[in-house]
Amino acid sequence: MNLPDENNNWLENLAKGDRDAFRSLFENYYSSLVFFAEYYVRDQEKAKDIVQELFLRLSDQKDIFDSVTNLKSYLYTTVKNSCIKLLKHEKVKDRYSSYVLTTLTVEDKFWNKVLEEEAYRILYKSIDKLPPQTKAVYQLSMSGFKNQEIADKLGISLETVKTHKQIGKKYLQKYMKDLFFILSFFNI
Amino acid sequence: MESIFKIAEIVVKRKQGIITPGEQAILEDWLNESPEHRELFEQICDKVRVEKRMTDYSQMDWEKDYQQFIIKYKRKTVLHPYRRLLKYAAMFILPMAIAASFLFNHFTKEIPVIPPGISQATLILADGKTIELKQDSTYVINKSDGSILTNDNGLLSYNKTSDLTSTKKISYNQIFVPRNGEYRLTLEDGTRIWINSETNIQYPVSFNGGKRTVRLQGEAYFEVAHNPDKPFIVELDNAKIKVLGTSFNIKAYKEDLSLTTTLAEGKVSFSSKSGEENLVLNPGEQFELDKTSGEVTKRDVDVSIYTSWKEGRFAFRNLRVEDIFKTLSRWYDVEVVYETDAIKEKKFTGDLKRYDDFNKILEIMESSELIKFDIRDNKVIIK
Repeated sequence: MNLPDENNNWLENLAKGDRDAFRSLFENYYSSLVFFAEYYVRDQEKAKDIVQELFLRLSDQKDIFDSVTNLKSYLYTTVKNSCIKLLKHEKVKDRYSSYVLTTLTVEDKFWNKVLEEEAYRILYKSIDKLPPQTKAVYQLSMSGFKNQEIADKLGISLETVKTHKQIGKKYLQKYMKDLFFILSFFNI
Repeated sequence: MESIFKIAEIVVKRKQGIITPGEQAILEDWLNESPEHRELFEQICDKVRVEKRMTDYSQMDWEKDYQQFIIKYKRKTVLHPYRRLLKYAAMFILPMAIAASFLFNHFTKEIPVIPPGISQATLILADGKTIELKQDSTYVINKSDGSILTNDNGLLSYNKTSDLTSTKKISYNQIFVPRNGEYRLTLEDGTRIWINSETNIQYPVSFNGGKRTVRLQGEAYFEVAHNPDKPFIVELDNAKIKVLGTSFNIKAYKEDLSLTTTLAEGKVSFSSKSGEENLVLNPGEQFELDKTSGEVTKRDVDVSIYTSWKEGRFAFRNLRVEDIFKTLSRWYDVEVVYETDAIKEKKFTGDLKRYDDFNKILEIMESSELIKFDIRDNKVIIK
């Protein structure tokens, strides 16, 4: 699996301006950063502009990050700052905007939002790596459907659902364990 | 406090039912830290929310946005306030522009300008630190080992160090010149080196032992300072060149099938790594080592052809098109594609200016009516 979190060379390659490393950065963080920005600016097009500008800056500057945590903090913090700038600039004085501006400037609230988005990012990316049928079962299971409901929805037997769940669990254990090892190894 | 990124991951593992006892303990601690954490945790795990967010993610076409981004990035335009307006304008203008370019294509051929290489290199110091060297940057570095480096106008020089040498360990520096680049280097003993594109040279900061040894990968022209007591040795991947005081050119690119050494002045001896050959070269002579067979040939040549690059010229004498473009692609940093294998074998003779744009070079070559070109995204298609 080529999730950048797992591979520290990736940071080096990114600093060198390597195209694959950059694409991988985009693949893994673009969506979550857009959702993160969209939550604040309430417009996906504007959110995309903000995130793409960040990526443009990253591709120009060749900043060097010594850990994935530093990189992630940089990504979310930069998006936050761009959102604040945009919201202030638009001078929309409705209640929502002023509420958002407050939550953005309170550190704790900002990091809670980051935590939430990161959780969904990892959840989606890890399940996305599963074989198609297993993925379908797991997605439904994560959304709270019972085994029998999943079987009915997908038109497969209850036993098959259970088997896919087992396969999925094994996959995820391996995938997430690697991730955990690397993360603890680099003392994050 | 555990980093929030680690907590995010543990929350996911909990949701997937693969949390380990150690992680469960970290999670409990975090949840007990504040009611806000517990609230956040429940919110993240909420089934309806998870379903909605997973749908969000699956509907986001990041690949399409990436493609668009790359196009934008290539043009390096940030048109923030007008971007949206431009999008609509483009809807009308673009089809017209395409139609127009289609029509005009018959009359004019629009080719991007590809400029020649410039003085640029990366210096790698003994401790692994790197310094980007540019033509217009001037600076002096005083190193703790007593050496002094001066970078000025595309030339990096090492000055003779003070007397605190002989006992010290030899420390090596390295200079890497990328494609599209060239650089000049003066070593501590006064030896001058012209470094061509895509070349790496490793050398000691000061020459303390009984020998002066440098390592080369790529192409460089050497003017070795005369010192009969300390032979100068150039180590290559497949061979070694021993020098007393002389000027010569070495072309030893990793991907090339052979390496050559061409002597302008003095005397060098050449020994390949595989065989035990130890051949002596006189001025005007060239060695060629075939890397696959290990065979060495010695021939008389016009030296100026092989050293022309350092005088700002390309001198091609009845040379295969493929070999010509190997040289050109390093200097102009372009990729070359051949429409047929037969084209590679055609031969060309001519003198060209190294500091001309690539387009000018192609124009001249095209006028020979041997070959035709197309340029697309830094790729040259030879027909």
